[in-house]
Amino acid sequence: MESARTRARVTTAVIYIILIIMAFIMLVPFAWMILTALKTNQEAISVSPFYILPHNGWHWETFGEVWKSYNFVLLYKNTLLMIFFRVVCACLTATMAGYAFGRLNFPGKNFLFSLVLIQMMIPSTIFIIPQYLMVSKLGWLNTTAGLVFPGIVTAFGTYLLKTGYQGLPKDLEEAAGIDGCNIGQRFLRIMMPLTRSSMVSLGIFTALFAFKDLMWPMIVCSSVTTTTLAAGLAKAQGQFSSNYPQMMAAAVLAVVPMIVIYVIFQKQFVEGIATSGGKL
Amino acid sequence: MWAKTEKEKIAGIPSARKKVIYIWEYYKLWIIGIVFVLWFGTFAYHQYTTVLHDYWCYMIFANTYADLGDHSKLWEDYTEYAGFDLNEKAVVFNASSYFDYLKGVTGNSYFEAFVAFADSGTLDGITMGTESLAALGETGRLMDLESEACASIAAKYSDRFVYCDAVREDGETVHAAVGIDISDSRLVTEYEGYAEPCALGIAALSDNVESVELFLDFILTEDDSRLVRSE
Repeated sequence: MESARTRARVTTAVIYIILIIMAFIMLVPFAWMILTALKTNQEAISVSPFYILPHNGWHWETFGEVWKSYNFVLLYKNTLLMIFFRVVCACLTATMAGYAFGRLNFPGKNFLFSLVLIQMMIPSTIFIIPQYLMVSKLGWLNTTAGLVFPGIVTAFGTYLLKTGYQGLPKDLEEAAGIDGCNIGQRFLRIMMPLTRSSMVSLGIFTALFAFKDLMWPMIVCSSVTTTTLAAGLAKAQGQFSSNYPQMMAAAVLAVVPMIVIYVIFQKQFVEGIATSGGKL
Repeated sequence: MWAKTEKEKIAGIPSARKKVIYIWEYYKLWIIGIVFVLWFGTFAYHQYTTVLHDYWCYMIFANTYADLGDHSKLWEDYTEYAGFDLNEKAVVFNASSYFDYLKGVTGNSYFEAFVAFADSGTLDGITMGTESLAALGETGRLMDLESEACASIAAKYSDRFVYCDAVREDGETVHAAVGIDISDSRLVTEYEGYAEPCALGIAALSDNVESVELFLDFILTEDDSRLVRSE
């Protein structure tokens, strides 16, 4: 009895130790980023393992220098606008398309849905050239509309919402029909509110992908006034190529909004992952 | 019918404050939606009408970590030299591009971006290592510098031409001039853009060959003559 209890304690302790090591490994890059931002350039490029912490004082002023060099207020604004509109557009179009594919019957439904699935199987980089040509012809280069353009429709979202709608009982829709609801009312008032968790998942994934999107903002926004945090940071790579503390300070400032959003929506993030079975 | 009923209902509410509360309670989503749509419409329209849709010159400085992007010293010196009206069109120097056709570009998003710029006619010029540029010329996305469009450039810089063997659509291999050697230019000596031999190519669909020629003049001529041009 005693040995079984001891074995259980040892097992728990081993699991905890492994988890602590894993958590530590996960945190090292973040800690390194923040500590490098607070060092002098000389310390930052030193390969000595004893230079983990700054030796010549904590240089908080680096953040101020980077803030001044880059218009972070503008970068935050552009990024948040892009994320917001991509989330709104993705949720709107995916919920309507998902409802149509999941609940309605119309000629060519399976063929059209297979087109959606094919789009999911093709690497997104293939779409960059035609999308750029379209945005260019529309005159949307260097605009928020141009940034949002590839996120207006989402094959993944359509698939996710279709699955969500298919999982709802048919009786609900039939009962609404008997009560006099037309197709629009059934969709808006009965079915759509029931897929809220799927829409939250989609919103989270869309927001994350939009935040991480580097290539598209770099292509469509050559102007610093309309570019996003990721693209602005990539440009800093050249501007501060020899100044690693400034590069790291810019990186820290760039991840701040996402950390704040994560802290606020932590519950929804976890639920979203559980609902969609996806990974961040 | 619905509007009439609602009007009558609101008219029946005794005080103005209660009317506002009623409207807000029942129609807040609509009100927020309409305000948002109006705001975004105005914002998008303003942005669309104020953004510059055309370029004097769109250059890519590939495979360099030097500060050669927009508003860099190079950008400022060149725009001053060329005397461009920046309120009319933009000058874009893109120094965030990293690909080498010699080493393979499969899955390289920067190359995809280059293709997008080149195929849409946005791109005017590109600089990179000489051998890499010659290899890039084989894709047919760089202008033949011995063509009529580049006659003025050929007259001045033909001794600097970089050649490649490009296969034409009919299968014939041609020896085409696709780049101009700029290894000894100010781009290297003054702006420290590249440490190795480098060259400049002109995009096949460029409409601004004159701007690229100006750029070549700017980086390949002496300091004194630069100032004359801006005056």
